[in-house]
Amino acid sequence: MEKLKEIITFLPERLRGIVSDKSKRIDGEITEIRLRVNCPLIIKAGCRENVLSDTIITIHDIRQCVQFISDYSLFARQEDVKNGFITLRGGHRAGIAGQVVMDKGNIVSQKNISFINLRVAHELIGCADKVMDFVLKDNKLKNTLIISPPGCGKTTILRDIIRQLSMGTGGKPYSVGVVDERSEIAACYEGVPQNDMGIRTDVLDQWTKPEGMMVLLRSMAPDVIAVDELGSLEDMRAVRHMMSCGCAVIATIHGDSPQVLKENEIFSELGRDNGFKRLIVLGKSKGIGTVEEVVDCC
Amino acid sequence: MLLKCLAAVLIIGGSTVYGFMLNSIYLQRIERLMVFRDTFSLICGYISYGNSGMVELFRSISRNTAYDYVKEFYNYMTTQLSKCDGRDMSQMWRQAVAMHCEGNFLNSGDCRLLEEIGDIPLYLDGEAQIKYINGVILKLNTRIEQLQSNQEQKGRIYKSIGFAAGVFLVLVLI
Repeated sequence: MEKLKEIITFLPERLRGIVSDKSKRIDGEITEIRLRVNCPLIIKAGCRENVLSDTIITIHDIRQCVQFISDYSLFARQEDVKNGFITLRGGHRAGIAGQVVMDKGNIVSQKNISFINLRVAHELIGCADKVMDFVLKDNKLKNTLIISPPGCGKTTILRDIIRQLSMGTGGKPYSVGVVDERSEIAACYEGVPQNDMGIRTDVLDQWTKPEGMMVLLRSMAPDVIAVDELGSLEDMRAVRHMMSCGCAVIATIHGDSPQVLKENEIFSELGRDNGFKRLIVLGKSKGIGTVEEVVDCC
Repeated sequence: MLLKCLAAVLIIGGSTVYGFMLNSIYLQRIERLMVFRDTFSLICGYISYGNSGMVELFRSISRNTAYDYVKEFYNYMTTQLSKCDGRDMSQMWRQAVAMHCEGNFLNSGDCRLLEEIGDIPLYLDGEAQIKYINGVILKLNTRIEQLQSNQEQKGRIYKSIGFAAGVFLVLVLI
């Protein structure tokens, strides 16, 4: 409820009451509020969509919302706007889409934003309890890869693993370095993590993974490095480098089974031994975040 | 007789002072417009630098200014923007102008000009916002130039009318 109250403050005045009323009448917690110009307001709760056909979003609503999500300072959030999302107070996120602004052939920003997706932060403290025994099997932290299709909670579970390692829950505490390329893990707002990352966690916000991992290694001496959504060969090379330097890596990747390690070219190019010793596969079979499979490759 | 002379001196003195006061109000009006124009240029600078948000920007102007009325104006804006109460900036800016500018040396025409800054297109990129503010600064410059060019003439009129009105009043009373 607190989270909903927070996200409502980013909505135009006329929509605040509507969303607030609707939230009392729908099942489940609101996860997304979608504003599309000249289209009805859509509220997503869990996997269900609620289309409010009598509430049509106007360009004025969108412009007001842009003011609120950017703290009246779109000019100070150009980099975020260029990347298509703004991290909000409380760790919420606003996805934005509009007209591109180019300078000498390069994309520098967006203007005339007409589509906004307000995503409610859903930090689940303790959601990694079910996998922590596996992550710390035999009291040894080994390189771990979380495999999951989009929307199955891999970032949420990674965040909680980071927190638990950093707090030393159930064992030795670890110094954790996080490269948060899209501000999804720590959700830094003006440099301050909005999610609980534990007391021994350093966050590099919006750094690219390869560069961020190198900086963390050189400057913060982490025991563990955590990254979200490995996606390129450069990411994998950096991960291998971290592993060879004696730093444990916990990462996530899109996929639906351990087979992804054989099929995904970023792994295949690095040879048979990709360095990940423990695999956790997430799915939705019993709800979002179900641990479908754990594989110990040791 | 002595009393009559004293009263005449007081009346003439009073009306002359009033004339000077009118002149000083006119000068104050020009000065305030110039000071606000300078703060708008500062806002442009902050926007092009793009390092801090609007709230921080207003707070900084309010902290660093030497003028109380500017401090109060931007302090009010900082407080209002921090509230996140669903009003857009133009509404708050209009209120700030009404509360801190209207009637304080500035006339309603000046205030309408100042209000235009509140309508800055916050949904556009920084460059477009700077262009908009520069447009308002240009209008302000024209207004200030007009006022300055009339200043000498109006100042003389205010002062001499003040004195003349005093003398006229004394003659009528005598």
